[in-house]
Amino acid sequence: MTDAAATIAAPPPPRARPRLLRKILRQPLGIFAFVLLVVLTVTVIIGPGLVPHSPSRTDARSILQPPSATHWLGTDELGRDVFARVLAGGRVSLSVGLFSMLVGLTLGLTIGGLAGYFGGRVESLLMRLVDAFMAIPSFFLILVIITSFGNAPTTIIVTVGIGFWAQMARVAHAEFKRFRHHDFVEASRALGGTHVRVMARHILPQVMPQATVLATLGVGWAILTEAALSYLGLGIQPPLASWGNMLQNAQGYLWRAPVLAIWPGAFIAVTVLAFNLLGNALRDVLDPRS
Amino acid sequence: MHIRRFVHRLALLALLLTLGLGAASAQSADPTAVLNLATNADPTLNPWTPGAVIESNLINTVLFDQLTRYSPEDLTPSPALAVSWSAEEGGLAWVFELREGVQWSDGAPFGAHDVAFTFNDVVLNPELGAQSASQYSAIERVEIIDDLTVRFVLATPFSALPYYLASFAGIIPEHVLGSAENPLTVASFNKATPVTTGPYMVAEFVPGSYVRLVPNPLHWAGEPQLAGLVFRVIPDPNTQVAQARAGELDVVTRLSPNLATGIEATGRLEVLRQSQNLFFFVAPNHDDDRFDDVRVKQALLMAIDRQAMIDALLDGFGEVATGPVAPMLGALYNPDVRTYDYDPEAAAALLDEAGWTLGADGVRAKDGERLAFSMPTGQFGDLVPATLLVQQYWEDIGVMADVNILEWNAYIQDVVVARNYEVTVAWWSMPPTADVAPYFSCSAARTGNNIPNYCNEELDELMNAGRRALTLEDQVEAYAAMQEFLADDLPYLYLWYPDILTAKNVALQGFPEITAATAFQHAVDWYIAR
Repeated sequence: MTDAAATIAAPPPPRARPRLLRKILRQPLGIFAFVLLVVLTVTVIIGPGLVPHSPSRTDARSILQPPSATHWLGTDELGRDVFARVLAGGRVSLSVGLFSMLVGLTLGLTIGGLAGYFGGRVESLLMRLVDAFMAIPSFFLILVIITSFGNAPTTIIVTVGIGFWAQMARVAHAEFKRFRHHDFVEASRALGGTHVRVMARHILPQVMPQATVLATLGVGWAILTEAALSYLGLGIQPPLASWGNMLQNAQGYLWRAPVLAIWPGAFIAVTVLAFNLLGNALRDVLDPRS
Repeated sequence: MHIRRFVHRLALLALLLTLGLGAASAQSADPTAVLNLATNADPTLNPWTPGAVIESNLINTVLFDQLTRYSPEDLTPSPALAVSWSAEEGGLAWVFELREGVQWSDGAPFGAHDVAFTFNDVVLNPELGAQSASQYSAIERVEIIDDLTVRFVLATPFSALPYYLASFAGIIPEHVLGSAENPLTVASFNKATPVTTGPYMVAEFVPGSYVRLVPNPLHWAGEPQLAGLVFRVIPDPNTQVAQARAGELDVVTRLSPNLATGIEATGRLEVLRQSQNLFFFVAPNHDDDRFDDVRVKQALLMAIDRQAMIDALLDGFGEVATGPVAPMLGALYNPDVRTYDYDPEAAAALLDEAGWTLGADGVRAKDGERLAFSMPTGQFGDLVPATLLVQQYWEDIGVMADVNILEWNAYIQDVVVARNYEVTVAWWSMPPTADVAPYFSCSAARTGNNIPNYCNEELDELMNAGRRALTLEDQVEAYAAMQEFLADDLPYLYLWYPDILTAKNVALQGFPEITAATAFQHAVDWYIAR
């Protein structure tokens, strides 16, 4: 029974693999972005162990130093090593980006999926909720939630995810709705598959390409949102570094040491750009119409 | 020949005319000029409302005249609403003669009843919890002798009273607020158009945006020389400076040194380097018995490189503090007290001697208790970076500080009011007198301005000796002893006396440079040179 369902569920086109590879190879920018993100992720994970300086070690006697052999990117207004802080901040910013995306993805897929799969009243109810969320500019929604519930890192992750789920729900809703009357779904249902099983095992894999693209773009968006929140002083709180709060800190020294703003700014820009390029490339690769 | 002489004469005439006009314009004020100033949040237009602090102080100084104000020369109390005063009964009472013919901005006459109302019904009313009320705890009541004479009856001598009456102590109108259930929370007054005695009065209050003041035609010193003042609500100091550079602001107070860099190159602004009786400190909460041993406090202070912090945070615009009394007080300042130079080794040795030895986790401990402190701080000015630097210095000698950064109002409520902390960095800005009792006495511990909850009867007696001293000579002697004690026993760990930087439009004249409070107490003299 399981075998039969699986066979119907995923009928792989015979020449899919070579074609997919060829499609991927046609996306040099996407590959570049992917490699860059892998390198960046590995660096921020193992990097802080390699830098001899602690990101929080202050030294009032060596503030605002230019780059040197000991301090690769110089020091900030409290004498902290900027390179160590960029790496530590990257760890925080990337995790916030990744985990908020996961929150948004889970929420969006669940709610949008339920709405699309069941239709009827459930659909109207859930999708009106989605409409309501989309009607509020997400950044203001996030600001309101953060100011009322505080800015612990987990609150920030969940809140940024909430800013992102409605969009995901729309896509999931459309996809689940498209697939719910397909033959392989009906067949699985006829063979006694429960709703949960049909949704998770049979429809979800069909939705994943679309979801992956949106999720990739979502990580970039989440990193930017965290940076914006921190820039307003509402995001990750010092002394914990994030790229956003490094930018906010640098603000007070714009006239004296503009370079303090350039490093975290450059890392944010490059990372978000890489996620966007990767997202676009994935869309081209995974879009069945191309 | 003729022509040449004629040309010469013409040139001479032109020269004289230019010089003459130049001289005239340097003297004359532009009567149409409006001055733009910044404040960091919506002000509360009542000097006594609890929580009306740094965002309200300066605008209230312009609006509400006080009995005394600081002299621009030496900060001694000089006449404002009071014209003369003297101590009686060996310092147990002060009599103030009030100025004749003063009117409120609504035309009602000002008199002794307003002074009595401000103090008896508002400041001394414990139910209202007026801002800074603890500074006046020596006052028992204010008696009306006649319409223009009041007597401050004191419970204990308080020789610095005329100084304290010049420190954000505006007189408020009885005929407007006397009938209110709580005169400190009347919204139509505090947040709209209060009735005032100052040279300018409120014309318009747009919350979150600006407060516009216009000249008060009834002011006792005559009408001021500007068409108006606008206090713009600009929370972010960077924005304030950017707007000043762009010509949209004429005065920015409490300027951070790193923002002052290059500001004079605009040619439009100048930076005034002012002093104030103000010290930054680390407050140890004396409810914690780890501070019973003075060696712990001394070691903590020795571990901090204060000069390096001044250089890093203030760009050198400051001086290492030896106690709460700042050098600007001249003879009353005692420099010959115990000092604590930066010496981490000596600090570590002192802690070893006190029994706090280094544990395996890098933190000192004694009898199983660790030398680790909760160190909350608030988001304002240099507090956060100063806290992080102190945290590092202490870590270097094996003392751990757990820093928690709070939003400003949460910090005030939690740390300053509820005393919910073990150590914290903050500052006190005090009237220019050596009488610091409101910040150190037992009676101010736990409730008043004595944030560290420090209480020592010997110190109380030393401070009272100063309050009893009526001549400068006696005060110098009494306060020198007090400062020695304060440096030995460290109720606060003194950090530095910062220079107070104010950026102002170079065309703004009549602006006393000595302190910001003095400048705003003399707002009636401000003018823009044409």
